[in-house]
Amino acid sequence: MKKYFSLFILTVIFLLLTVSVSAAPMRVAYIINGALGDQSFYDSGQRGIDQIAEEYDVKTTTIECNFDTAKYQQSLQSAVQWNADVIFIISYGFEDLLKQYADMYPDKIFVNIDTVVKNNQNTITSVDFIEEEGAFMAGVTAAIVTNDLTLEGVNKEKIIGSVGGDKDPVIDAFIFGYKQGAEYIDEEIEVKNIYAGTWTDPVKGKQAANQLYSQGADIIFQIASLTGNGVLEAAAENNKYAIGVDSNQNAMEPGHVVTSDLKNVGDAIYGVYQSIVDGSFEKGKVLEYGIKEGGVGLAIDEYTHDILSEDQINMIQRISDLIAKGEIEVERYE
Amino acid sequence: MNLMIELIRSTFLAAVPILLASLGGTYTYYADIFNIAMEGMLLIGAFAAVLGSYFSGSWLIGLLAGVSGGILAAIIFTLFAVYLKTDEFVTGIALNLFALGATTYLLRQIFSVKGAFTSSDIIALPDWHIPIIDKIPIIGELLSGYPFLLYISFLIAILVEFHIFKTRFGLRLRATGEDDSTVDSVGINSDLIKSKAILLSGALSGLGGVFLSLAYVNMFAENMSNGRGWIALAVIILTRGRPIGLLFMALLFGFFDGLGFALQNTFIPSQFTQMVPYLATLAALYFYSKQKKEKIKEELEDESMAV
Repeated sequence: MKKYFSLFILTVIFLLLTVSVSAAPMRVAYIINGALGDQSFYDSGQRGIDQIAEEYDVKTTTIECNFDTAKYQQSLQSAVQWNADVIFIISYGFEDLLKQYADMYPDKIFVNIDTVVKNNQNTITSVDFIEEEGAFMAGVTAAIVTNDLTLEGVNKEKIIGSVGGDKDPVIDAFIFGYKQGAEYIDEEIEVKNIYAGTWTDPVKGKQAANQLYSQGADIIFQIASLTGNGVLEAAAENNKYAIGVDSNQNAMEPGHVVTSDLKNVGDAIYGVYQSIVDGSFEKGKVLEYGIKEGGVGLAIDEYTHDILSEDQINMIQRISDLIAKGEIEVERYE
Repeated sequence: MNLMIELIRSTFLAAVPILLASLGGTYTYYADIFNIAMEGMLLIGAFAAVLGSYFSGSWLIGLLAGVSGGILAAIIFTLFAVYLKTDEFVTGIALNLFALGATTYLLRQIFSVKGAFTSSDIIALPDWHIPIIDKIPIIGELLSGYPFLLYISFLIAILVEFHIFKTRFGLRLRATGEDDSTVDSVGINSDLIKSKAILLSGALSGLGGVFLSLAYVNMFAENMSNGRGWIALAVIILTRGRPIGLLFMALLFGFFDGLGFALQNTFIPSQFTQMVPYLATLAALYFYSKQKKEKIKEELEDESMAV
């Protein structure tokens, strides 16, 4: 008899749970292929999720895959079993799994961040950052620096540099935008690039940067993740300049990191969620986040003011506004 | 500073971690221990060095911590490979995986960051400006102003050559490598010799790690050894463990590493220039083996003539 009783209690608890689940407010899951704590891309997304949790009284969960391919399917499965209504996902490396799950669960909202993924039923919404626009602004800043001979350490040669992690379409899009920005200021500027061939080796980043500085570059745009930390260090040692990427790295080498080209993943996530709440959201669209939408842009703070003059910063701001208004069109990398 | 000078400077700098790790591996090479753990020892050394330097505020403590880190990894290797007689290859793989996992984990636990840890509180090894040479225009730029550990590394290469070929320990080490049961039969504990060889390899690889994180750059990044331990292993096999040969190969490798970058701003595609150091290694291996083969052939001919 006791046995049946406990079974009964369990059933009641189970029922109560399911009822409370269906009655609960919306559930938002955030799936990332990497891990939180990068002080950059993924953390920025998490800030958006936290903001949603705070302002909309929804339950949120974050599932980290830690770059472990075996966890990719598990992460999607557990988000679905957790009854998530909205799933924000950074799906590098498991786009096909995402397509499968989106086709299996057409009622759920899947929002893919940073790349464009389309499934058969076209239910996935993609948030695509316009890297070229952010990099264009980095190019503008670099051109201003190399042309300003009053800045300490700047030489006469009009050379600017970039260090990429590896040759891939995203990095080449950055370089493409960077060149356009520099040429917008001064057509004579020469851009030298080195692909370090690795994302985790600051030693190689420093080696590459030293080489570019020795060839006359005054400023280097690092687009190489951890390898890029070596670039910033080289800037300080050579008494030259650098531009950070993804997160605000201006404080890493004060006086040498002029600005950083940001990707505001959090703002994009928050914006998409707002549109879901107010009903303007449509499934299956590709949402472009450029300067206008606040998806990309430069980090201009006190460290920038320590290096550049008020006029120079105003000029950078003006050009950024022109891009936002659509008066300057930044060509996309195909 | 022009590109040529920078290329030569980066040659010296890039050579040091490979040189130190391969000098360490030379000891185990002569003891006939298949040691592939230099990669992990480098990484642990690099992490421990940053840890020591950050918390003590002294580069000397950082250096000692880095070397101790390498030795600690070596003790684990010794315990398993020498005393518990596990497979050396498997132990090496385990140690390399452990090094990557442990340093990544500790980075997060101790410094609460992922990826890379930079701080102005990490005190770097001082540079050495050679008194008179420093003032000579080009030569000063080429030879002076490197982290002092760089000069010591080149000195260590010569000392290791001497240690292995001119001392009693070196003789016993090589004898152990040839046939350890014979060494045991004359009353020398070959296990002890092997352990010493592994500990020396750990200490030198740890020192290589110190150079990575406190001299070349001043930070720790996850997986920052980035294959240098494996290159060291290749270099040892290539030169059959001759320390002076290692020095030469490490420099060659360092040079082609920098050259690969420099060639990217020419018409050569970057995918190809990234292969340059490895192609150079293969080419060196080819010529080295060919030369060796001819030498053996000559010796054989000499012998047949003698008959």
